Parts: sequence; structure tokens; C-alpha cells
Amino acid sequence: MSEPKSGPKPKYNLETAKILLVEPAAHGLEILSQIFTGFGAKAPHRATNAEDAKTIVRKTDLDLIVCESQLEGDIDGYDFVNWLRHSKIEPNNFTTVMIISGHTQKSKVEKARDCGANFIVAKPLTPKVMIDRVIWVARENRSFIECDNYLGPDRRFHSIGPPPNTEGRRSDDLPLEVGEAVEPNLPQDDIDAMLQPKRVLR
Amino acid sequence: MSAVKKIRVKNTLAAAVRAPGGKTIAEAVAGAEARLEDIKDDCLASLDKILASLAELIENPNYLRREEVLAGLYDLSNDIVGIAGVAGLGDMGKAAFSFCDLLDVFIDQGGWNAAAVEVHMNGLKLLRTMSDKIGEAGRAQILEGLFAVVKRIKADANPAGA
Repeated sequence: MSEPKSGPKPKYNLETAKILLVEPAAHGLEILSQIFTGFGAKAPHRATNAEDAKTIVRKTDLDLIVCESQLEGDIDGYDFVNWLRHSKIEPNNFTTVMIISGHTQKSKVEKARDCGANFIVAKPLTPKVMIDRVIWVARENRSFIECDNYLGPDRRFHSIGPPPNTEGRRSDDLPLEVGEAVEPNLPQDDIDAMLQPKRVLR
Repeated sequence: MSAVKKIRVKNTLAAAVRAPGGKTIAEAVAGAEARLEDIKDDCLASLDKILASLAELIENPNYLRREEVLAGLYDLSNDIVGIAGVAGLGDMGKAAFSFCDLLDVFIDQGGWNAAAVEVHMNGLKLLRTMSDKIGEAGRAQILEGLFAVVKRIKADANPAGA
């Protein structure tokens, strides 16, 4: 994402944003903290494990959660996000969540996809990448999807239906094949009227 | 096929970032980079500690179960991925990522290859201590070697998928 070449540059204010940073490694948490403080965030909440993060989620309304995928103990970052989405703790269950991840184990790729995060950012983190992602998630206006096996932001970004060459998993997905017409064609005049609407003078 | 419920949600982050004041992207990046520069030495010290822990785990793995050794090595190596860039050692981060890739094969499919592990450890140490001296071409050569090792191990572990 780049700023406009001419005119005043847009500004983004993280001073009042309530942010939670979850990272088990002390140096990792320090890096995250320095990046967000450098962006202008005031004293982001910090947690080193899922239990502490849950405590903060229960007490404070948050605008953004940044969570490392590998946490200590039985609950990893993906489990934490999944818990958050199903927690019914409003408004935090709909809060924007960015997962940060170094290497992702092959066995966890599906878990990462299905946890309900808004964005997954690969390490190493750089300030440029992070601010771009923060602005991206701040601008997005995705609905949440709730179904049998997923609760989180709509993963279909562009409203182009299910992925190519798949039948689609949702009951309202249209079939791949376009069937025979079941109604007569519209008269050409009606089509023209739709394409070139004219003001009606009374 | 599942029934889908769509829920409109309010993006509270959007309202926060639109508040008057704030920073341009360039100002925000500069602010963060200045702060990261301040902790660069701490990051270098952390990298040395992690390398020592990795070496200890590889040399004395017997007091832990095999899965614990692999998980420990994987986590430590993943830590390097997150820190090395901040310490100005981006290529060391790439080598650590390659080590994670290698360890993931051992975790996922079993097996162990001491030579492949050793070559990664040597690569990591070299990229930590001699990074400037060996130059960009030298660093690229080390990484190329590590990537080739992992590619071969993956092919051996999963001949059909190679």
C-alpha cells in the first residue's frame, strides 16, 4: 500500500486505539511493542500466554489484537482466536485480529485458515509491512460468516463466488453450470432502459 | 453444504485510526524503525542465547523425549525467524526458516538427519558471526546450500510428492 503521490498524505491515528499484543517470547513481545508504540499507540496491552490474553479480553473493549501463532501451553494462537470468535464477549468477539507467524508447521496450515483471524502476517515483521496491514484491516468492511465449521471474517474477499473449479460449500452458492433459461428473455426495450436510465418528466 | 449466516460487524479499529491527529505512513514507519534500532543490541544478545540453547539441545538431547527435542529446536529456530531481521541479520532469519522447514519434516514424518541439522547449525552460526565478512554473495551461497538440503530431505521423506 502506498500513499498518494501528490496532495496531503493521509494520517492514521493509533493513539486511542485499544490494542492487545500476545507473544510468548520476551524479545518478540518487545519488538511488537516497539513497533506499535512507534506507530503512535499508547501503552498497548501485553500478554505472553492465552490465559492472560483471555483475562484482558474479558475486561477491556479492544480495537485490535495482534497474536503470535505459537503460544506456550496447550492453547496456541489459532485456538485463542477460535475461542475469541465463539466467546460471545461482545464487541471483542468481532474485534480485528492479526495473527503473526514465523514458520507455520504443515500440520497447522488448515487450522490457521480456519481460526477466524482477519489477517496472517509472516515474520520477520517490518514496520512497513505492519503499518500496511494495520491500515488494510482498518479499511476492510467484511461481514462475519457463521456456519457449522467457521466463525470469522468472510474469507471471500472479492464477491466472485466459490473458488474456481469447486462446487462451493455454501447452500446459496450457485452451480458451476449455467442451466437452461426458465423464464422468457427480457424485451430489448427493457434491457435498454436498465442500461440507459432516463429521467422521467411529468 | 452448510447454511451460512452473515453478520454485519462494526470495525472499531477504522473509527480509531480516523481520529484527528496521527501519523503518515512514512512517519509511523520512521517512528517504529527508530525504536527498533534502540533494541538492536538486545536482539543480538537474544540471538546468541538462542544459538547456545539450540547447540545444547542438539548435543545433549538424551534427557528429553524425541518429540520434545524436535519441538524445542523448532520453537527456538522460529524465535530466530522473528528476531534476526530486527538485528539486521535478515539472512540468518532465512536460514532459521529453512531449519524450521527441515524440523517440520522430522516432526511430521519422523526421521532425523544429523548432517542436515549440523549444516543448518553451522550456517546459522556463520550468518550470525561472519555476516559482513562473507558479504551478500557468501550469504546467498550459504542459503542456497541450506535450501537444497531441505529440498532433498523433503524429497526423500515423500518421494511421491517430490
